[in-house]
Amino acid sequence: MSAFIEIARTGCTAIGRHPIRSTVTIAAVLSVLVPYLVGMGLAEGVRQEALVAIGSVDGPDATALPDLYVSGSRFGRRVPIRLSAAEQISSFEGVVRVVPRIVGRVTLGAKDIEAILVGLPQEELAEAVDGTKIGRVIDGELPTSEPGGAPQLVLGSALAGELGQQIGGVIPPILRSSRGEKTPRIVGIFRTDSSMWQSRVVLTTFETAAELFDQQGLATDLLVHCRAGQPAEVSSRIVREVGGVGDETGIGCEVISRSDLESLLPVGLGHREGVFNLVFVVAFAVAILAILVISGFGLSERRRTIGILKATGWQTDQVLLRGLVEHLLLGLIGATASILLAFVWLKWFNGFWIAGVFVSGLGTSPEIAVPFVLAPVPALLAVLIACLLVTIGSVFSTWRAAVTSPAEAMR
Amino acid sequence: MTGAPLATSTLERRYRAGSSHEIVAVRDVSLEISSGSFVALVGASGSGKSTLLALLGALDRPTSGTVRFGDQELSGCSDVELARLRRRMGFVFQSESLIPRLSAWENVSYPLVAQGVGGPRRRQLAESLLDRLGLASRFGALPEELSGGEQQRVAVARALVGSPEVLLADEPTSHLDAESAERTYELFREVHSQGTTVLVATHDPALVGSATRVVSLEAGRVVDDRTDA
Repeated sequence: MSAFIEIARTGCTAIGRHPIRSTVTIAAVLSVLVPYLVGMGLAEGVRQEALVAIGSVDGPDATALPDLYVSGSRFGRRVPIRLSAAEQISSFEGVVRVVPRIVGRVTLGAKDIEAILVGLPQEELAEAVDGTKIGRVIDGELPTSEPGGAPQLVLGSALAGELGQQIGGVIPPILRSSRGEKTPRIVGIFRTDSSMWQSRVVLTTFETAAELFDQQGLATDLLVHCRAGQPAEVSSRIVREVGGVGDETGIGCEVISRSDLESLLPVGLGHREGVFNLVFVVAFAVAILAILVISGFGLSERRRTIGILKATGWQTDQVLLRGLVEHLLLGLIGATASILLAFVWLKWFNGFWIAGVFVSGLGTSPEIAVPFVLAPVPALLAVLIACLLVTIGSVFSTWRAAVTSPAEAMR
Repeated sequence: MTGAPLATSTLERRYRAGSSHEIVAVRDVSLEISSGSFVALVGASGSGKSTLLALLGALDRPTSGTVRFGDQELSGCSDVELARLRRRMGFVFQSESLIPRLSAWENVSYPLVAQGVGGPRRRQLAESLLDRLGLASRFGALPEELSGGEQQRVAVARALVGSPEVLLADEPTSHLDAESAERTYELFREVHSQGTTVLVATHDPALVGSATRVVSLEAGRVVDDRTDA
């Protein structure tokens, strides 16, 4: 046991004795692991935020979320639903309330920056921005609908940054409706620490949204809140009684439950994660080759050293143990440094460059606080990968030298 | 201390040089080296002295023939058994045998690491030997900071640090000045007087003069074997 400890110690000190080799090896580990950990941290952060958004898990900005999302349906495609359906659904047994919503794509400013405009009834806006666990998520005021007045908007923080807008500012007309052209006024801006999804959203009242899109009497979907245990029953009744053959517009309806959204979510997120993982499988392979090349530096010196060790009474397993301890420790140092650097990259550099891979529209330098979770599994995987990378790259050559006769190794 | 006897029987070692040329470095060598003897291997360069020492020190495997250390036949030994046998021997190489990134005292004490000797005790033993070889002021020096002669003395100290039963030395005084060589003779005579078997491949007449037996090699064969004492 004492021999084991003494040999392990020499393995540890060998790292300091070969500073260039150790530094280059750790740098190779960092170059592979840091982007990988940043990517995995972002993927997990985005997943968590998405789960919070659909109410699967409780998050800091979680509000009371609907159980059913009802929209129109034509030829199997989702289309807007008539607003009068909200009243019909409200009368169903088990329904607590129905909230109509308009969600549409708009372009803003001279640069035609794309954003999502969300319109909610006045009374729902307060809950959306004030009812979160972190308190009010906007600076400024809630939008109101004043007859004849300018449309009032709340901008996402990323959008406000890109447009160079502040509260009180005005932006060029978004859409020109049949009732003329209006210049919207910014009454509030989402805080940078609010949900990532809110960073590129334009929030306004239902009436303003309907006016901007010039689509009166329609909603893109109805958010249906049900009593516990009732959503399935309500859902089937909506499908049966709302829209369809009996509807004067000929538009059917489609109901998506929260559990449907939960099951769809991994598919959407998994695609980008899968592409990212594939890229890194290639990166790992390249890194193994790189470390093999690095371990080739000073190979003749290492062979000679191993020959001397064997000539002076070291056993092959002791030589291997020394090399293994040295390289496992290098792997651990590399992994630990990678985790720390990944945290710095995510926390202080906002997932610079990689965040855009996972969240479209963020660009290379995100202006919002990107969500990230450095989960234990990727971190442990990083340690394992680092140790494997370094040991695979070096133990083989050590073993080759250790099994030859000392005279030959020293030659 | 009484060294185990070393013996060889019809020992042969061939090397392949290039694709077709083969060199017979040692041929048909049968020797018996009794415990506690001081043997000088002499011969011209390329006569096979270093190869024979490497075979006797279990650093190389013969092409044919056998080497025995005590009652153990080396070709039948496992890797672990060979390592344990090497711990009972000390080997001084001809040149460049120090580990470049270790200091003088660490080089001397490294064989003891594999035996589980703790750091303070290793340092104590190494410093004592280096002191006796006149290297008291060079404990922490790296090999590149040492002269050729100093490196050779460090290598001698390393060979002796494990109190070996057999000391094998390949031209141990070839890079040493007269004073350092004299210290080395003294040390070799001292360890021999304590019962250690000493085998030295050398051209140095003074070292040959210290030997109790002189074995002459020529083209890998033993051509003369003379016991003086």
